[in-house]
Amino acid sequence: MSRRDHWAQFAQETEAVEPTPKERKRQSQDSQPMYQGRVQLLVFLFGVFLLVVIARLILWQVFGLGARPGQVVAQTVDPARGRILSSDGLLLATDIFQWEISVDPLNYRESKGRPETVTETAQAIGVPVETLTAALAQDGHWAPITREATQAQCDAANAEEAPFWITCESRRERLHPLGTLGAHILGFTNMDHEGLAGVEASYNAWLSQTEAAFTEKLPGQPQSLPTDWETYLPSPTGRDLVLNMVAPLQYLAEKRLSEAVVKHQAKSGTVIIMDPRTGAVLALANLPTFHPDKYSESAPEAWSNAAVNEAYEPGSVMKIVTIGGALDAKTITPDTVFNDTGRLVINGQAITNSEGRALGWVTVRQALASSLNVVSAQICDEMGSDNFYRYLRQFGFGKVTEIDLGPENPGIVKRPGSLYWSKYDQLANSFGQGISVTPLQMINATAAIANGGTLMQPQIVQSLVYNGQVYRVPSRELGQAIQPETARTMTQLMTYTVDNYASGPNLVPGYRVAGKTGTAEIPGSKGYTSALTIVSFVGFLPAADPQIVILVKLVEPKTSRWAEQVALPVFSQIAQDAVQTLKIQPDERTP
Amino acid sequence: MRLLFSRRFDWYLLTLVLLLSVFGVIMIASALSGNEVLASWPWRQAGFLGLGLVLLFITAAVDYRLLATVAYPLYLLLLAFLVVIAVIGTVAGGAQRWLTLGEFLLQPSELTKIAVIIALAHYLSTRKERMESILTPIGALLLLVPAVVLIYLQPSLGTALSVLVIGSAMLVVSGLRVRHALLFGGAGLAAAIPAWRFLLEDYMKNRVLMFLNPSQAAAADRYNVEQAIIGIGSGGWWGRGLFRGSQNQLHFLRVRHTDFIFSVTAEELGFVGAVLLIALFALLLFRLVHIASVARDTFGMLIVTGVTAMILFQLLVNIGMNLSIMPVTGIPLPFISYGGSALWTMLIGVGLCESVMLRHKKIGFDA
Repeated sequence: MSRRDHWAQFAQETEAVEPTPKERKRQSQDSQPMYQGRVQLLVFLFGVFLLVVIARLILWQVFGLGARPGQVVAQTVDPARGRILSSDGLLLATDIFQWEISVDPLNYRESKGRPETVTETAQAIGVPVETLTAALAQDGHWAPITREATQAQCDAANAEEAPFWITCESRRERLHPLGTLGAHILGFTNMDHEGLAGVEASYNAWLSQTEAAFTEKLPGQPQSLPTDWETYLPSPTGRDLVLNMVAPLQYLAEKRLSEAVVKHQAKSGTVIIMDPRTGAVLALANLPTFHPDKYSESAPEAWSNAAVNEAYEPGSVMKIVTIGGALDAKTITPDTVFNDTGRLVINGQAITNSEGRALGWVTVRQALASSLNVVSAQICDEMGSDNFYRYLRQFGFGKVTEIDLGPENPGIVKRPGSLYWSKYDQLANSFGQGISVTPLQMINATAAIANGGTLMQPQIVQSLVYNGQVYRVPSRELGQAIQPETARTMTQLMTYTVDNYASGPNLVPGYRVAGKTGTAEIPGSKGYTSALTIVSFVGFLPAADPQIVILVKLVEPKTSRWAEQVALPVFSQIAQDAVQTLKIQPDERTP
Repeated sequence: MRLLFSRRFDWYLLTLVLLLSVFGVIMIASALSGNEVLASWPWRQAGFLGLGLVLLFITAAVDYRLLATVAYPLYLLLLAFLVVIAVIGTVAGGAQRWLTLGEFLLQPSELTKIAVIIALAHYLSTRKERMESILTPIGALLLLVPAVVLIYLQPSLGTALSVLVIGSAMLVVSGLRVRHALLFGGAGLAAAIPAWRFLLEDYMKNRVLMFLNPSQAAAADRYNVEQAIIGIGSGGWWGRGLFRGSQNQLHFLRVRHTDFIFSVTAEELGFVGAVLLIALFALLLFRLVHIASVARDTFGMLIVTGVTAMILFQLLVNIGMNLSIMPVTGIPLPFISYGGSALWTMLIGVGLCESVMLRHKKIGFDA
C-alpha cells in the first residue's frame, strides 16, 4: 500500500459514520472471532503459568522447601564472626585470615623431588631451606611449614608446579588482640567457630549471623556510630558487640588481682566492677585465667568464670543484707541496741563472734561495724524467717541474676519448709554461713543498696552494632530490694563501717566509701575446721552519689586469714584506679 | 491535550502502571539500601519514571493511526541505531547494548521492541485478508529477522527472544493458520540443533544447561540462582520486611536491583507481597486484553497485542528465572527492575495502548 493510499484510507476511516450498536456487534463478530479465541488461548496459558509460579512460591515460602540456606551459604560465603569492642573502642575479638603452608613429605619422596627444587621453592616462598628440608624429612602426608604466612608467600607456594608436595590454605581464626584481657568476659570459640564460653557463647547467634532472630528484637532506636568506635566498626559482617567493659579499668583490675594473688599466695581470686545505676559490668576478672586464642593450653578449670558460676559462703558481707532487710521491715533502727553476749545457742548449736569477742550492749550501727555474728543472728531472729527469706529473694539470692553471660550458678539457699532447714540455718545465713552465693550475686545485691534499693540486671554487653547502627541494650530493673530511705540509711551504716577500719578514712583518699568485709571459713566435711578462709570486700563510692561498686574476693590467702588485711588493700588500689580511669569527681559530702 | 482529560483516557490502566512503577522504585531502594555507591539509584529510577510518564502522555496524545505512515521509517531508524552501536557502542557488562547519551546509557534494543510492534502491526493489519497465503507470515518473519539478528549480536539473547515472541504472539492473534504454525514450529526445531552448535555463545549454553541440570553448572553461574532461592525461601508468609532481607541486605545477591528484584520482593514482602505483585500484573494484562478487544481497527488491536505480549513475556521469563522455572536470561521485570530504557519502553508501550483506548469504537450513548 502506498503512503497516499494509506492516508486516503485513514481519512475514510476517520470520517466514517459511527456504526450503530447493532452494526458494531456484527462487525465485532466478523472481524474478531479469531482474535477472541486466540486471546483466550493465551490467557489460558498465562493462567497455567501463574499457577506454577504460585505453587512454587508456596513450596518455597510457606513450606520452606527449596535450598537449604546454611549449606549454600557455607559454600559461597565464609561467614565470619562479628567483632567485640570494649566501651572505650578497643578491639577485643575479631576474625582474621591466616595462611598456612604445609608440605606432603610422602608425596615429595614418591615424586623423587630433587634437593635443588626444595632450595628454589624455599627461596620463592621465603622460608629457610632448613625448615623446608626438615619438614620434608618427616613421615606422613602432612607437615606444617608456617601458620602465619603472608598472602604473597601463600601465592608463591601455590604457584609451584607439579608434583604438588607443597600447598597453602587459608584458615579463619579468632584473634584476641589484647591477649588475656577480659578472657572470662569474652570466652572463646572452637575450631568450627562456635562460641563455647563468655559472650562468644551467649551472643553466638548474633555474632555468627546464622540466626535471623535478633533482627526482630533489636532493642531501641538505632543510633549512629560514636567516633570512638569507628577505628574497628562496622566490621564486614555487620553484626558486632560493644561491651560495658572499660579496657583500662579491666587491665588495672586484672593487674591488682594478679599482684594480690601472688603476694598473698591465694588459690584464686575474683574482681568485679559495676555501675550500680545501670547494672553495667565495667570489669570482671578471675584468676586463674587463660588466653582465649590458646584456651586449650590452659586447664578447663581456668576457663570457668568463677564470678558467675562459682558459689561460695560469703561470710560477714551477708550482714548488709540481713540488716538492710531488718531496717526495711522496720524491726530495727540503726540505733536499736542489742546485748552481745558473745554466744548464742540455738537448737543445741552455738553461734559465736569471731575471736570470741563479747561487746555487751551495742547499737546496730556498731554491730555492723564490728561485724558481730551474735547480734546479726538476734536481728535475723527478730525479723522472722518470712521477712528474712523474702529479703534474700528480693536481693537476688538463690536465683540467677540473668546476666548475659553463662552458665550462671543460682547458689544455694535453704528455705523454711525444706527438709534440711532449721532455725539455726536462718541465723547462720544472717552472717553468711550455710548459704552459698556467687560473687556476681553479692556485688549485685550491694549495687542495689547503692542504687536506692533497686536491683538491676547485670549487663556485660552495652550495645549491639548492626551494619554500623548502634542499638543500645537498655538497662533493666529486676525489682525493688529495699525502699530508697532504707538504702540511704544502709549506706550510712556501711560508710560508718568503713570509717572504723584502721585504714578506713584513707581507703580511697578524697572519697567516702560504703562497704563491708567478709571473712568466711571454708566448710569441710566436718564443719568449719580449716584455718583457710575466703576473704572478700564489697563497697561502693562516692557514698553520697554511688557511681561504682567493686567486689574483691580472694580464696585461701596464706599470709593472713582476714579480709581487712587481704581484700581491703586490693579494693583500695582498684578503687583509686577506677576513680582516675572513670574520672569520678571527689565527693566529701556525708551521705 | 484535551483528549488526555477526556472520559476516554483509561485512568484504570494508568493507575495500575503507576502502582507497579512506584512499587519498583521502593523495591530498588530496598534492594540497594546500605550500598553507598548506588545510593542515588532509586532517585534516578524515580527520575526515569517521571520522564517516562511524560513520554507516556505524549504517546497517548498522538493518534496511533498516524504511526502507520512512519512505521517502517521508525523501524529502519532503530535498526540503524543497532548497527551504529554494534560498531561504536560502549561495552558494559560484557554487552554492547548501551549507547552513551550524555550521562545516561540508552539501550536502543529496548526501544527497538516498540518499533517492531508498530511495524509488524502495520504489516499484518494491511494483510489480514491474505493470511491464507504462507507468504504473509513468512514476510512477517523476514521483517523481524534484522532486529532479532542485530540484538542477538550485541549479544542479548533475552531481548532477541523477546522480539521473536512478540512477533509470534502478534502473528497468532492476527490469524496465523494452524498448518503454517506447525510448519514454522517444525522448521524452528530443525534449526535449533545447528543453532545450539554454531550460533549460541558459551555463556548462553551455560544458562540453558544450568537450567536443565543445576548441579552441573559452575559455582559462579549457580550463585545468583541459589541466593535467589534462599532469599525467596526465607521470606515466608509475610517476608522479613522492607530493607531487611538478608540475602538482599547482606549483598549475597549480586544483581538485586535488576534481574533478581522479584526475589528481593519475595524475601522482604513474603508470599503475600509476591502474590500481590503478580495480581497487579494480572490485572494489567487483563486490562490490556480488554483494550485490544475494543480497539477501533486491526492496527490498534495488534499494537496492544504486541505491547501485551512484550509485558507478558518479560514477566514470565523474569519471574520464571527468579523461581528457577526458566533459564537465567537477564530480562528485566517490567516496570519494576532498575533501568531507564526498559522502563521508558514499557511506558511508551502503555502510551500506545492509551492512544488506542482513547480512540476506541464509540459506544452509542458515549456522545
